[in-house]
Formats: sequence, structure tokens, C-alpha cells
Amino acid sequence: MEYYEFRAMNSAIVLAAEGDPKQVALGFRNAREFIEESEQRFTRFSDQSELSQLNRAAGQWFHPSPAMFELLKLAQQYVNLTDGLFDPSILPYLQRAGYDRSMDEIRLNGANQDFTVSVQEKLNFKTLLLDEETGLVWLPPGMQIDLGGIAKGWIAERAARLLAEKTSSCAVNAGGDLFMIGLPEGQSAWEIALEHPRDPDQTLAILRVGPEAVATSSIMKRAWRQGDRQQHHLIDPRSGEPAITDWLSVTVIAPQAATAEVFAKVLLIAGTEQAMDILASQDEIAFIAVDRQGRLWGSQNSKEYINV
Amino acid sequence: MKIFQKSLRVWIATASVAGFFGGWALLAHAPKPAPVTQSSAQVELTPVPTLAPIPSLNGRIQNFQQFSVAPRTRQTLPRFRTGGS
Repeated sequence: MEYYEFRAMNSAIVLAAEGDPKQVALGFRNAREFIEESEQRFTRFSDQSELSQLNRAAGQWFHPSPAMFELLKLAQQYVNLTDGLFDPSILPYLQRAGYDRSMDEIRLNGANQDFTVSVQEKLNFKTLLLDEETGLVWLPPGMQIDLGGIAKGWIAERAARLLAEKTSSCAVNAGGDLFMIGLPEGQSAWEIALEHPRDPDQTLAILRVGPEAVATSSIMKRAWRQGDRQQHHLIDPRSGEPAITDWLSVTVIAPQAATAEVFAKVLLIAGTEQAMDILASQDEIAFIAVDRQGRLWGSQNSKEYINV
Repeated sequence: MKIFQKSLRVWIATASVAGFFGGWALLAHAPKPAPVTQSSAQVELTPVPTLAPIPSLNGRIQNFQQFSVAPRTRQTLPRFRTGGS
């Protein structure tokens, strides 16, 4: 297995692949180019990004790239599927909580301390219009979106598919959002270490997964202080505030990377009470969570993936 | 200079002794604390308010299975890790 590591999307990216070395190298280059190009397109931390242009064009019809159109369409499907617990239009709340600059910058210089910023009434992401015929998109006036809750998984899967064109089996890990294609030679599964949310150097369990997706959401990784408040990046669309939840982290295994990423966030925001209801309608996903005492819990179908 | 040092020592010694006896006299004549007239068993305490249980982990968590976590003993851990973003 060949590995290739670099940094993008404020995360460590790890590519892995097997096959002819020259083809693997070419696959790595293509995957990296795609990831970096996608980061430029979907980041909200650059005024030049397509996402920033789209946010500035709220109230007018906008001509997005096919990739942006596809991701917005997918996001809208997940908004419907999760009853609004996943919602990209929480950007103003995220900024109010202090996350108005990149995480690297927050770690270096601290977060925005002004949490008195007023935010207009929550707009419904379902009111975003996508015109299939013209390929145009319309954001309601005032709506500002952040695709951080879905883009990384989507990018990881797309990059893995590009890599798979040149290799026999491969995987992409984008900061804990993984997508695997095929299996390592002679192995019956991909092995992934599940980190302790409070101490990433500690491994809680080894996950053994097939050619599918894994994503973890945690309230510990992207967290900062705002005045006397401990804030994190997972906004509960119902309250407009960082989610108050039973879980420190939630890991989801699913056929698609976007599904895994979206449901990891949604189940973490929902907490135990709602998680069962959500999981009851989603039999293709497995759920593993770490509670505040560091105990490991899982849905009934998660047992086959966990090697503790 | 020597006279000054000697006077200073005498003055410090005198002031310390005078301060000690002055403080002793002051405390000796201070009013005594009132004796406790009510036993602790007779004190009526207001009931402590009961807190509502945290809603989450008490109810439906039994629908999830718990896995015991043991320290990893393997020499090599997988190259891939997941822990949240």
C-alpha cells in the first residue's frame, strides 16, 4: 500500500492506494489536484471562492459550476431527509459563535469575541431554488450558507473515485472523513483507528470496514473560547447555538461519504433521544458514539465493525 | 551610627513586647461568643430542590449497545484514523 499525505481544507489528508507505482503516483496527483481545486471552490474563508460569490449573490439568480450545483442539490436532499437537523444555512449563527475565520487562524489568534452580533430570523434552506434546466441557483435574500457539513465527505468520495481510475484499491481520508474503494490486497477489511475525542493519541477501538464511507463529528476538535463560553462548530439549527449534546463524538459508517458526514453531525446534534428515531429510518448506516464519560456506544448493527 | 542601630533594636524589641501584651489584653476582654441554645437536630431545614434527571442518557440509551474499551496493546495501529473534524 502506497501512502501520500498533505494538508488541505484545514485538515490532514491521507491518500492510500495499491497498484502499478507509476499509475498510483498519477492517481495521487489527480486526487490532490481535485481536492485543492474543490477547497478553493467551496471554502467560505476566501472572498474569491465560488461559495463566497454565491453568498454575495443572495437574492439574485447565480450560475454555479456543475460541482456546486450537484452539492447544493445533495445538501437539499439531506435537509429534507433529516427534517432540517442538517442545514447549511446556519452560517450567520456559526459566525456569531466566533467561527468567522479559519480554524487554523482561530488556533493562532483566537476567535471573534463579539457574540452580541444580531442575526436575522432563520431562513429555510428548502427555499433555495435550483433550476435543473438552466443550471441556475437562487438564494433567498439574506441567506448565507456554509457547506462545511457535507463538502469534505463529498470531496473525499470524489477524490477516491478519481484515484480508483488508476489503482486497484484505494482510500481517501480527509480529516477523519474516509471513503474506501476495493480492499487492501489479502485483507478482508480496511482498518481505521477510532480516536478518543478528548485525547486523539488514544485509540478507543479499531474499526474494520469494507469499501464504504466512515465519518466522525466531534465537539472537541473545532472548539474555542468566546468570552466565558466554550463554543464548537456544530450548530443546532433549532436553537442557532452550538449543540448541547450527550455525545463527544459520533462516527457513522455508510455507503456514501456525504451520508456518513451528514448523519455523523445530525446524530451528534440530535443526541440520544432523537438518534434512535433517526436510525430507525436509516438502516444502511451504522452509528458509534463516545459519551462524556468516554464510554463507547453503538447501534445494533455497529458490532460487526468494531474490534475493541 | 552604632547608637542609631542600638536604639532601633531597643525600639523594635519594646514595640513587639508591648504589642503582644496589648493584643492579649484586648482578646481577654473581648465579648465571648453566645452559647448554642438549639441543637442541630431541632433546626428545620428547607427541603433541597430535586433536579430533573438529564434527559438523554437515562432513557433510550439501552437501545444502544455499550462496548468495553481497553487500552490498545497492538504494536502497530492503522495508518488511517478518524476522530472528527
